[in-house]
Amino acid sequence: MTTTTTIGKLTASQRHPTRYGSISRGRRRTLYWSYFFLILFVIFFLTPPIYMFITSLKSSAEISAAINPWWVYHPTLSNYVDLLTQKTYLIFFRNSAVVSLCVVSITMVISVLAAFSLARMRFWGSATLAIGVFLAYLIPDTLVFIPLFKTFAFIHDKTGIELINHWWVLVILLPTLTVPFCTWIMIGYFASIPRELDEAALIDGAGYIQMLRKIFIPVALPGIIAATIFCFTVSWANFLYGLAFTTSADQLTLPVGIVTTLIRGDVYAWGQIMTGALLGAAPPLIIYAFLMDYYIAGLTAGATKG
Amino acid sequence: MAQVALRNIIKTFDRTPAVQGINLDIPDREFIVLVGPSGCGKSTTLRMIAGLEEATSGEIYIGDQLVNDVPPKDRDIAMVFQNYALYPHMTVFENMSFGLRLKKFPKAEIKERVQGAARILDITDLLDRRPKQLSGGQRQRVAMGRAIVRNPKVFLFDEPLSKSKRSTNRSRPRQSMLPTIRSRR
Amino acid sequence: MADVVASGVPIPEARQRNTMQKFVRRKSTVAFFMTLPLIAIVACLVVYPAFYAVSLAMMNKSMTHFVGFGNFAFLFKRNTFWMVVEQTVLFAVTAVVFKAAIGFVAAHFVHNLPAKGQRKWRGMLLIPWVIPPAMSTLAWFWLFDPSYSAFNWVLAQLGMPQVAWLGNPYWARFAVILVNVWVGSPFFLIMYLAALKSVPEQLHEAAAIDGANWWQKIWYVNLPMMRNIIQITALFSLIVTFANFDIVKILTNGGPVDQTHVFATWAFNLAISGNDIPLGAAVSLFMAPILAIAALLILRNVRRRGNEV
Repeated sequence: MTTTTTIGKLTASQRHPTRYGSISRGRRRTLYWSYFFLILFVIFFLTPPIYMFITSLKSSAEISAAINPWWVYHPTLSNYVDLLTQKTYLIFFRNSAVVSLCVVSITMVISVLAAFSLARMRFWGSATLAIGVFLAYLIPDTLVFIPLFKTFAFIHDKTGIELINHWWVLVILLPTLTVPFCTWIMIGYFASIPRELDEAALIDGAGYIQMLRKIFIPVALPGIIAATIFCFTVSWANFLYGLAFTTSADQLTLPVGIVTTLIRGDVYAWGQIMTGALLGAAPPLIIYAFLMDYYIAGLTAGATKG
Repeated sequence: MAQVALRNIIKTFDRTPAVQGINLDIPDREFIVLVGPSGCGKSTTLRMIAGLEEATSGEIYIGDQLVNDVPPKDRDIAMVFQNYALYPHMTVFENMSFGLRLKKFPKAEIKERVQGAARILDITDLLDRRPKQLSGGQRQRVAMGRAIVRNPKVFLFDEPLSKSKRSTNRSRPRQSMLPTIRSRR
Repeated sequence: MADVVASGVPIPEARQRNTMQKFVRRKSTVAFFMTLPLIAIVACLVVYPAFYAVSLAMMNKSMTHFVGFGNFAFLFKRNTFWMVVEQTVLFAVTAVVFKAAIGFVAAHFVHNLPAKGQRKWRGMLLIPWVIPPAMSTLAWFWLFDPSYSAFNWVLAQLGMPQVAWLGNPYWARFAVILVNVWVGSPFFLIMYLAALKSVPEQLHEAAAIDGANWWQKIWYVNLPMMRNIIQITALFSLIVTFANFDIVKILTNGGPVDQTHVFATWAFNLAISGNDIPLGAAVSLFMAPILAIAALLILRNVRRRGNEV
């Protein structure tokens, strides 16, 4: 038989301070190990960018001196000044910015339209199309750039339209890298919007385009932001198409420009190269710093919502 | 099985007291039910006995052993969760035998225990199924089987009747569980 | 009561226009037109070139006439080709395995942290993924520089011999894999973290009561429940890593002596620098079989997930 239970108020002597038993000691130990390994990982992951930054503050004299490369003894902003007053670099930056913004606009329009119709309007072949889009995303640019190169050269011979060595060619090409995945993300977001909203809108008299503008886009805004960020990052970072299709210095985008022009012969202006690389990495990093959650949502949306 | 004793158990979450000084002595082979309004600390007390929560102060004894510092896996207890917590990727047999497999019991004994428990719970024909193929009641029985098979010192059931269908005779669901539990002594 | 129906009267113009309007306004037509830009882009700039690559690969160097499998026969006889095959496979498989391992381990550590702190750490750990690979490869290039390598400086301080990171073929392969792992691990971290968070905590509690310690919980509970995401992520990454261009191109350009070339970089050099477009196309086509297999496996996995849920 059970003895009486006493559930009473805490007396002064019963109000012990929290006593850490070995269970929470064990948990704390796991926590310390977690922090330890995570610090190792962070060191591994952040060393290159930090070193980029350190180098960018050094004069070329200090770079070639045989001293500790991990510290800046005489920091200087001369690399930044040189680079930013140099017309070539600014042109690279401008080209990248213009190309990226164009690609983002085009991609988002195409993706949203396509995703809306694939997610909402069942039509013959829509499921096959969705899978087809996904498969197309898996075809890498490295497989496709050679025939495209040939095709563009061919078009140039036949019609005189120059498709090589112009930055706006990238505006045509880069959407192939971004549209499939952005469509995929948007399909996931649109599909998760309950159909009752559609029906309410239809009853209220909205047509399809209005439904898109007034209901879907506002509600799926997080997905749209995530897709936009993804699209921008991919366009900005693109290297292959830029390298293959543009050659004159005034047509290059940033990544291609830095790699090909700042490395002149045997003289590597490392201070400038690192500064250039850091500034080139800045736009995606800044966007990431402010919109990190959307960034991550975009990454995971593809596989988990798919 | 063993007796359970709670001495002056206090649990506070941050500043909120959840359990404010419980003293309880449960002799061996006793069947007790904690009832009370929601939020009064029943689940918390149960979880403290299981070792899933740590008591802010007070002592918990299972048998004669002070178990405050003993992790759940070494307390020799078994628990049936409110949501059953069956491993979705394992068959019923694997679910029930998991604890024994971890302790490296010989295969023959595992089979014997699982079949025995399955017979009592009337789930012998479900041993190869996955949890998602079972109904709620069947899942509950598998969860109980998982607990029975381990022959623990203490059985803990967290809200075992909250998912039972209400029948016209209200006492029937509860009565049907008692024979199952009692037969395991 | 039926109205009088005039028979033999031709359909008035207005009605003919209506059928046309109806066609245009029909849901499926609108939907189809909305997907048309997508289809157009993918068809013209992805599907068509992929097929054109096949036909290109079968032409002679000046692209004047058809040589059938001549290019392929030529490749099979060349040593460099087989080296590239081996290097690409080694590169892709090793890199994916390490990325998955690091991502898996790091995800568990991050998941262990109190919820508030996780965001900060996750933020820091994702940075390699955010930086454009071309830029970060430059940073690694500088870190590996033959004369000024900061790593070599550290080795010197520790009294250890200098390493020719990019000059020695084995170190160069290591370097290329290292950079790829560096860039790609955060992706795995994020995906695995999301998968980890979807494993119900009660299963861990049940396992604890069943007697499992920490690695048994990971092996028997986490791993099986994350299996789907693990497979899909690994396959995705295999495809992307197999076709990788930026890192190898910038870090080693395939050197030293073609020992780090992967299909993409070798194809590029042959086609663009070497002016032999058909040969380049032929090389790049060798990526196709692996990609096709991986794609099919992914599709099967995604469908299976859809059915399981």
